[in-house]
Amino acid sequence: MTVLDRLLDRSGARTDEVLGRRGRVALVLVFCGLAVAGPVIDVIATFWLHVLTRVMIFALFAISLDLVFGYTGLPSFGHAAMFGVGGYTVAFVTLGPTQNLLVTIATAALASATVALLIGWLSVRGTGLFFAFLTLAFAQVLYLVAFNDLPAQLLGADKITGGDNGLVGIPGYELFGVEFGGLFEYYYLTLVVVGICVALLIRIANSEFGRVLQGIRENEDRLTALGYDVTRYKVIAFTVSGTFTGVAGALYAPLVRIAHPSQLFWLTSADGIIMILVGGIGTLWGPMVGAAFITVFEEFATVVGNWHLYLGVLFVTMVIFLPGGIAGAISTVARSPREALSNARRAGRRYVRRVRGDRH
Amino acid sequence: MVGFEALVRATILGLQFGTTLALLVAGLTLVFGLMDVINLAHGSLYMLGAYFGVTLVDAGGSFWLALVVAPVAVGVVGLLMEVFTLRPLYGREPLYQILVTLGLAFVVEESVKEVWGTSAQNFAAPAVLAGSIDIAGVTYSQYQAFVLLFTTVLVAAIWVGLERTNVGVLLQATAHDPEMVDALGFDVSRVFTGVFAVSAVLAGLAGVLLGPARAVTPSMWFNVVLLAFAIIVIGGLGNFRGAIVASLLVGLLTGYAALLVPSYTELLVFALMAVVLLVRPAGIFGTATGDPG
Repeated sequence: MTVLDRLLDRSGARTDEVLGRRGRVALVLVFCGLAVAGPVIDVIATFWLHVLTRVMIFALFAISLDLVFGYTGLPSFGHAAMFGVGGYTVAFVTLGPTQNLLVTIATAALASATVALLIGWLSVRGTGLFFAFLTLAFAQVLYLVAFNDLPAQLLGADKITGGDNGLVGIPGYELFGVEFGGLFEYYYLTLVVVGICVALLIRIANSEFGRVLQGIRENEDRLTALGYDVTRYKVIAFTVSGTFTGVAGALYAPLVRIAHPSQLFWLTSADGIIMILVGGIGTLWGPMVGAAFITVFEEFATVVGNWHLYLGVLFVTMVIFLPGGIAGAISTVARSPREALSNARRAGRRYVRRVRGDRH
Repeated sequence: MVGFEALVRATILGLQFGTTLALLVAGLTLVFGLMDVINLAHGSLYMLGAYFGVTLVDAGGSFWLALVVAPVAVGVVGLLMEVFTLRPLYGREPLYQILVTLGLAFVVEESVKEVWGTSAQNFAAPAVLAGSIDIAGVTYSQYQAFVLLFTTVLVAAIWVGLERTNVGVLLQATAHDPEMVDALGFDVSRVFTGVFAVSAVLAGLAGVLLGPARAVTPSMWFNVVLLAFAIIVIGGLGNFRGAIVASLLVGLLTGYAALLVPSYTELLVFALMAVVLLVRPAGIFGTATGDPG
């Protein structure tokens, strides 16, 4: 069986798959809800159309990051690289040859897949969690390249990445003569593209290939002993994840009308990590909830002041007390509210004991 | 064409940056070797050293006072970090430790912005060392010469401390087998806290020393922590000698790059790291098993 066969084969799908029947029904309902709500929101509060479009884009970013981070157990701290490359590719294509949606998205996906392949291939050489640092460092390389406009300096061109100004004035997409310039059209475009990508990602996660990825997270040595080329699976997982992240970036740049070095900066990677942790690492649906939570939180928090500070404190608190995130909390409470309460009390007592120096 | 004098000066600049980086790398290596924690907030402790230093000097204290007090204050911050955020996580998946240090780095950066603002602080070198010295017809900044000497002595002292003293033996034993050390009656938990605090003090020292030479801004921690981890990858994991040699190598590379291609110093370091990963994934001085050298 080649890797591609495993990727598409669903014969191994069982009842314990991630996002089972109920989860998928819920996702379809959310999709239909967003589709129906569009015109209503457009009339009542157009501003929220922009927020919801961002929510969908970051939901795609978060779920694709979770495929490697939580599902495979490869903590990438450098997914900004693919997010940014997706955006820059869109800028190059739409400001240049064509605004055709299919051509542009396909090119962006290809470009981010290439970058992901390279970063993944280099970073899997890192021992254990040094993988995280290596992805961070190689993403920073791309940031520096874009920020200093290295391509332009090397080729003697006037500007290619536009340095710290970025590339501004990205036009909307066009498909079969329809322009997706306005926010209303862009909202639906995003809904469809994100919907397709999320469906694909869930299918990949539940495929035979996805089973191997889960196996890598649970017990890498056993898979190696079983004859799997673990390194190869890791690189492919990173590439698949990076490709979808690139599509998220390709949707983001036209929305904000700019491809900017900040989209390649580590803070973008950190945003993704915060989203998946707050949502629930490894659950695939949790990170999408996390993306929605953080994006909406940002809208309100800017009124209060330094929202990054609150976000950081929230993040640290959640890593210590609620590592399962919102998804973990929901499933515990749904199973047994009383148990959830006693769990919380026990977690508090354990924290105090640990801080006092008891290591057991 | 770059003249001889400029080249010699770049060498001194590179060496003093390298030895100061070695202070940071030593702390990181100790914490990683002992607790398996990849501390992304190490750069934040370095940054706090620079900010505490600048504040003390501005408040009328001397540079020398700042050089003592600021690192101690950073040590206290490090101690609090370890006790309240890392202790609860030992024994959990190591992923959560790196996540919590990322969160801490985030919190420190934003807190620094709240307290000191976003603009760069002006950290003046002590007046005594403001001048320059002449050796063999080349003029050097006195301050850089002082930093080079001071950090070289300090790094040598750390090395001797680890190799030759009882404390060093205890640390090596703890890294090797914490349960056994625990069983022998040593409080491993306190050893961890102590090591983390010391590594914070070293980071704080590096911050005060490099403060006058580099821009003191709320984002200064990021590049430094990346450089420090790149050095560990280049030198080889869990290898103290390799870490020091790699620090000097990266310092020199930075010094020469600053002279020739100033915008690309970090890119060159990451390129070197990529080459090492391809050719010798265990690092230049690393062995396949990662034995400490």
